[in-house]
Amino acid sequence: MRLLVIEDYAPIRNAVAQGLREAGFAVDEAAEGREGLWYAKGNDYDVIVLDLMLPGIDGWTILEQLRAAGRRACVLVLTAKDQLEDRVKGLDSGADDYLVKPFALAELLARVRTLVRRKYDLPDPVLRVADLEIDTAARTARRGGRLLDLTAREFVLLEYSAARSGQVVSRTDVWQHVYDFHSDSQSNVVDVYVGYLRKKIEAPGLAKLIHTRRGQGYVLGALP
Amino acid sequence: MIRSLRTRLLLGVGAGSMAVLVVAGLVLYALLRAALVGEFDASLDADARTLATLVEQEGTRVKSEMAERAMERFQRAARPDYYELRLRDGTVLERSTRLSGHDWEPIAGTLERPEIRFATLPDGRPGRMIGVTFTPGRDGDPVAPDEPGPDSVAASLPMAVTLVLARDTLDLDRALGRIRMLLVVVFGAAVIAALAIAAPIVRVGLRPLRAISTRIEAIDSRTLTAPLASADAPAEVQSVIDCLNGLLRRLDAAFRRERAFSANVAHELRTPLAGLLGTIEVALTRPREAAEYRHALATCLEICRQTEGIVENLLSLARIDAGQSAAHRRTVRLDDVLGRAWTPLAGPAESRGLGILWNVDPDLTADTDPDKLLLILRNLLDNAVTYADSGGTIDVVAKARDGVATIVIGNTGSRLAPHEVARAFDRFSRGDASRQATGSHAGLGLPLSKELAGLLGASLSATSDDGGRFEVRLEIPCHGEVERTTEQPGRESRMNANER
Repeated sequence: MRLLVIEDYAPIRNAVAQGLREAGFAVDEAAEGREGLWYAKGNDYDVIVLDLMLPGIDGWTILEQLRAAGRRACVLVLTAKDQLEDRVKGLDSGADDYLVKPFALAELLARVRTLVRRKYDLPDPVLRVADLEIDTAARTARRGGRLLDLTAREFVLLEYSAARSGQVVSRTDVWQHVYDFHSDSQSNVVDVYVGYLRKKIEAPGLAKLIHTRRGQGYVLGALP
Repeated sequence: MIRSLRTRLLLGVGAGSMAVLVVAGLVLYALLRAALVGEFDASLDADARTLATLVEQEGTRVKSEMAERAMERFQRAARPDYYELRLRDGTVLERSTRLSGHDWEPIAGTLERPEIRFATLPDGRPGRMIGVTFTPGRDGDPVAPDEPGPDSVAASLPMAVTLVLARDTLDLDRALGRIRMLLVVVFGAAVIAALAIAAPIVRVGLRPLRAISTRIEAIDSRTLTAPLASADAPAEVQSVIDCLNGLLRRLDAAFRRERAFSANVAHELRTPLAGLLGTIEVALTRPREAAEYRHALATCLEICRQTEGIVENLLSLARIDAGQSAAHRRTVRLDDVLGRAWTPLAGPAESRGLGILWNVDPDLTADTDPDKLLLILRNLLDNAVTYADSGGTIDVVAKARDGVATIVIGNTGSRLAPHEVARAFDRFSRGDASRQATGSHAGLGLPLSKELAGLLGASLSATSDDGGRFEVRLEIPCHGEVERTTEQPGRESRMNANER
């Protein structure tokens, strides 16, 4: 899942970005309002962590323009303003959640995971595809009860594919939601990781779950 | 001094009514007494006239029938009257037998104008005596002394006789005593009645005051905005209520300012705190390389330093606000203070790629508080380093003229519109609704510098032009000896940030 952190105070931005990356998210960072808005409009982010008081243009304006541009990213507002009217204004302006500084990193991660589930309309933190079970909170995946040994990148790819199970996932989709600007941009890297993943979840004797759709991408799920 | 308004009003009513009643009582008593004494005198006068008719002149003798006709009243045992009849030469013709050995003071009057006075009777009773001098009638009718009888000239000259009659005033005194007592009792009762009526009136009259005090008691810092209702208050209380409402408004404004300030303080401290928490939490989520821990610790240290700066600024402001800040002056070289202010900023300025134009007259000295001046200059330079555009320029110029040193600190890349400059001196203001930086720049540097400059007798102003140049100008009284340096400009140097 791909996230954008817009926060001008470097220590918070760095900590949040690192924390989210280590929790398995692809994270882009912006330190300034205009830059943040440009990123947010140009990419299909799943969740945007947004500070309200920013140089350039403030968080309210970014929120407004983002919604006006039709971006459906869930927005978690991060601010030191904790007055009731500020919280209400934030939620009414199109924010999905609100976190007051200082905050615990664990809570931020939990809220971001909740917003991801909301984005993909998944009420249960454990995703199930056929006999595949993906626990998004514990970051573990099992097939038929057996724990799969996945790297962080493979898990993220599986998580995204499972969130969209039954739908065709294109290479661009993966590129947009699993990789951030830090990732190396080898064009075949998506296919390589899908290959790794296939090997790990489709052990000999088990049904195929990843089905290639030539020219479009692949679908995760049991064939009807 | 009596503290209770109610007691004071009641005492006033009591004393006032008592004074009025005492005067009225005295006047009334005097009038009654005059009337009773007059009545007594009229009776005494009438009796004297009657007795005078009992005196006749026969030849050169004066004959009186008083002894026979009126002796009863002069002889009775209880409260007898007294009389005396004497000739002009003082010879006593006749007198009450009880009067022997008692000398009246001479008293004289005529039948038309008898003389009446108070006297003490021989037996000690108080009384009044009347004296009339008349010419006894020859045929029993009293005639005035200068009015010669029709045929008396040949026989004898008319003789003048003085009759003195005295009577006790016991009845009169008793009546007057009773009147006095009545007056005291009635008027005393009137005073008590006035107090009794005034007490509830005063209590009711003071009720609005009690009502107001009850409402004032209920006011706390949260209900300052609700004005004291005063629709039914009397005019005198109304003016007090209006004053109180004005006071409440001012208090409320002060409380609002304080609350806003506290909220801002909390807000400004939360941001670095969140940075610390986040950095530490992330560092602790898993085992890491030593370099990563060092990096996290360095970040934390920097945040702590920034926070320390905010707290220092807040404390300085609080001390100035509380009037606890005084300038400890000594002679300092401005160039030296500027250098010390710049030292910690050289690193950040270099990392932002800023060019520094340093034009400071090395001979400038001023009598001022070096610590406070250092704080001002550090805040101003810190702002310049923070708000200058990356790769921009900061210029520092210090010159003197007419005993005033002017230190100008300018930077390029200002995003402050010319009309927004004044707001930059408001606490927690950062020029626009969004902000220009976080951390140490809590929007306190300029307001604190302004307050400090005021303490030092210096003035601080700022301008911003459309070209993005922001400039602060500190004017500080300096020593006159530096006049000459205005003609020879100080060393001008362009250097990299880290050279200073």
